[in-house]
Amino acid sequence: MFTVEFLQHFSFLWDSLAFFVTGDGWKNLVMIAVGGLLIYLALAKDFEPSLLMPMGLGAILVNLPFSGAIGEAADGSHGIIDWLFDVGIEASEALPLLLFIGIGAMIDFGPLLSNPKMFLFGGAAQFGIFLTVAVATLLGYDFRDAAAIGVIGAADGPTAILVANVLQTPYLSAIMVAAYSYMALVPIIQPFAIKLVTTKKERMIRMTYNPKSVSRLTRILFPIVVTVIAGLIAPKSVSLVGFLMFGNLLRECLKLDNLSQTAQTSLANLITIVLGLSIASSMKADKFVQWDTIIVMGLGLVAFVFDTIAGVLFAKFLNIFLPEGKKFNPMVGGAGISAFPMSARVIQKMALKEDNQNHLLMHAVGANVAGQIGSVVAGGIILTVVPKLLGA
Amino acid sequence: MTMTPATQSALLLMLLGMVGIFAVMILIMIAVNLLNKFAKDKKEEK
Repeated sequence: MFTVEFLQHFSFLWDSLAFFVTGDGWKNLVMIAVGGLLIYLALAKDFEPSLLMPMGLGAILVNLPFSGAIGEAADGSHGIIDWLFDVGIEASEALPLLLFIGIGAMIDFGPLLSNPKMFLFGGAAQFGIFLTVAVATLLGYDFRDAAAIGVIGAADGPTAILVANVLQTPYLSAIMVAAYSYMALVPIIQPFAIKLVTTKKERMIRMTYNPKSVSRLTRILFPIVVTVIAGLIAPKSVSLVGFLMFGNLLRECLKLDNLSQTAQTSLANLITIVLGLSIASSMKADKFVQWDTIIVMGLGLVAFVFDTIAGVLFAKFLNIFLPEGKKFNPMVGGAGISAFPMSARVIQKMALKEDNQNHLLMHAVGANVAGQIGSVVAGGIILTVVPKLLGA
Repeated sequence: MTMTPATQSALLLMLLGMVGIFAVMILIMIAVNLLNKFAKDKKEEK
């Protein structure tokens, strides 16, 4: 009796191994390798470890043959990773939205409020999103899918997840992996893009920093005003902007320190863990191992590069009208993307490399937090406009 | 590469999107300037 059970276990192991070498089983092996690569990048290279590590392990879990983490069992119960995805992302977009509360609580909008001109860069640096949508349609992608692919350029994981999911694109997993991978690669992508469109002389422009004091009342009213303005122009952005600004209001009201601290730490950490594993649900081999994934990743790179270039060129355009001594260092425009605070740090580092007395950090931080608002507004605009253009 | 109805929609989205984002950002910028001017804390007013 014992011998039969023992041998039956061996037969299951045999079935699992045979799975990899029959039909499309090799795709699962590829995905397990991708999972391993994500874990390596997270732990050895420090690329967004808090997200790439859960995603990497999740990718392995969902691609093991006959995995109990996915699918539906005979008793009707769902695998945990599929269940997390269904409930936390597909049914309600709850996970990315709740993460926004934590992000909002972490962000100090002070450098932006004391220098409001920086809002313009947060708008200009979203151009890559829309350019990529156009390029994707030229490559033959359906308009809905192209819009979802373009949102990789928001440089904002939760926004990309939410928009791609609402638009019901089949490329959700590729979009999510691209969004988080490229955010981690900002220190490589941005210097390349900035150097393409600036001269050394332009990169050496100094900007004086004379911050105005920002009253507590302004800091408290700001999140409310932003939510109302964004909501009136792009109603679909209300949940995105609203949750981000709710988190910021928790921080700035100074009456709810416990809640603010919880949002910044426990809530954000908990959601990050669950979100990373949930995303893995869409990294099943049959959906992920295809040429489209590589094309989508390539288009995401286009979006990131042209976001940066648009921000830089917009700063150069404004400089035409500004007198000497008031001009922007064009690199600051490139910080108008949402990848916070990496982008601001990259600009500071580049500025110091050209001139070791040129400190642009606070200007870049202002543009960078403006990019955070710009990206969620862009996501909201896409969710508002795309269904209308599709006649839905 | 061909100009399909999807591409036309994408170009329209680009126009509406950038106009929309700049509209939001400029309105927020004006609002923040007004807040900086008028929204003073009580201690500051004294």
